[in-house]
Amino acid sequence: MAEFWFYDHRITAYPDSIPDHSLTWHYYPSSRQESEHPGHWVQQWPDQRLTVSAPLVPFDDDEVNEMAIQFLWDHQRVAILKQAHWIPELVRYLRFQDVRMIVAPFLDNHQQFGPLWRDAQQNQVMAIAMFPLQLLVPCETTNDATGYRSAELVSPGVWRVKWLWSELSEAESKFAILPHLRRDIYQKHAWWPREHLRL
Amino acid sequence: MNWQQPLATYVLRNQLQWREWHKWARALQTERETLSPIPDMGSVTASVVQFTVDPVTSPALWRDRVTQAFRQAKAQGAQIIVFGEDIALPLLGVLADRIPGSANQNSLASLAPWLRALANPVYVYWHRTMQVLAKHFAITTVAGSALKKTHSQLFNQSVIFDANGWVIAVQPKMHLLPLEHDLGLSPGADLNPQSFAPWPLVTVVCNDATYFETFRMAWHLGALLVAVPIADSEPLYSEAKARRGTWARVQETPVAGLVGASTGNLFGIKLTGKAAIYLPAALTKDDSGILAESNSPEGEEVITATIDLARLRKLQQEFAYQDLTAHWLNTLYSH
Repeated sequence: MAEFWFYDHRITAYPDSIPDHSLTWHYYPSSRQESEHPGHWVQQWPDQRLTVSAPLVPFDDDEVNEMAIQFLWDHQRVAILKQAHWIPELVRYLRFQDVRMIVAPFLDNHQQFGPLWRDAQQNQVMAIAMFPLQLLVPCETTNDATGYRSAELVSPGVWRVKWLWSELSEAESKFAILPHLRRDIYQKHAWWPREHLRL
Repeated sequence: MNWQQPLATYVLRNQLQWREWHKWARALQTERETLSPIPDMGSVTASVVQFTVDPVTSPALWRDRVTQAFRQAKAQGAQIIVFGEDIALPLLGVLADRIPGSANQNSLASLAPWLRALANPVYVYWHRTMQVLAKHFAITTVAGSALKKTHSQLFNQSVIFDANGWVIAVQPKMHLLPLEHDLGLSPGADLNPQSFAPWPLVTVVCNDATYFETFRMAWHLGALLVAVPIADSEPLYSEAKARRGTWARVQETPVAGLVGASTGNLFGIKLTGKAAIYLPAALTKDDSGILAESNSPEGEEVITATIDLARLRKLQQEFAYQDLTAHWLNTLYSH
């Protein structure tokens, strides 16, 4: 069992399996108003303000490091998306690298069934959304089949949400998506811009 | 395959009553008055059909209901009509008492050799009926999907007919569900562009819309409209689960999604789903991304709406990968 605790501008995560090493991610926006415009934050992302304590292991050699930071936490890969620009290919790519949880501090989550929810569904990963605070999970893992798990208020300003990593494999066994990808067809059609092709 | 299946194929061909079908088709041909109109590329009026696929006891019953859907669509001014997935399978109802265990959901695997044997006669009946109706009503027709055996492989494929009844695209389902693997189906090998048609229209089948890649490819092929025949085996309709399909895909890729849905009970499998026309949220007044949707996930309905192609085309031109460095995209599907 793993838990995330949300403070006003801080995410604290406690993996039960590593009780001695709780993990805290601090993110401090300069003012409250900015929190309503997550897109504005992109310009101001200061890496040093994201405080991550052990036992996180960053993967430095990753090709999408400009857009996402990856960590090993509670024996699972977790990725933090660093910007508000979003395309479905990004989370697909992270999922191919065995990322099982996405944290997206800058993506607007106000739209019902928004981008992050869709990513959680089509890649069968957990996703932490910030505005509003929610855990987005595959529909198969929630009783009401909505894929939304609201954070629970435990004390003023402190929110908590729980999940089991095994829920993801249960969802995969109920509705297998990734085994049926058709990489051969996708490569043939190659719809992405080619000007950045690396030789 | 045992000796019963070729016999059932023979019986099925008789039960489909082709002699009666030819009389019906001849009558329609002589009645044809509408010529296919020259389209205005600024907008298109599309009808999506929600159709009950409970097995029928006579092919004429099924055909009359399909004709009725065409008639309704024509009355509403449709230029394109889209039917649901597996729309031809109810025709197997004419043989239902001869297929052992077909009423039992647990015996789906035992149905596999029967589907192989019986797919093609039903496919031909569906194909020719849709062709005649497309020509008669002068509507570009996405005829839903049906099972087709080709070179010993079984495909679940969709067909588009133009307003003169010509086949302009054939698209086998590329991403199969586990159930379809169990039934011995093979996945399609490619996303096929249409050969010739006034509309930039591509069809894919049901679970293909679970994958954003399908819609990216369709957009890359130049499609503005993606028709998706569906048949969701969900006994209880869930809005969230339904939103994982075409609705979600058109929010990611700027195209219009035309969903024809099959509902009802097909050999013990309960199907629910809504026929709908989805657009990127920016092109709908309430930002919902839903241009038109049927009222209930069960039963039959024909939904018609007009899509502003000019605005959609403009949105496509504005759509870009923004500032993202795309070099990693080249390696995305390489491993």
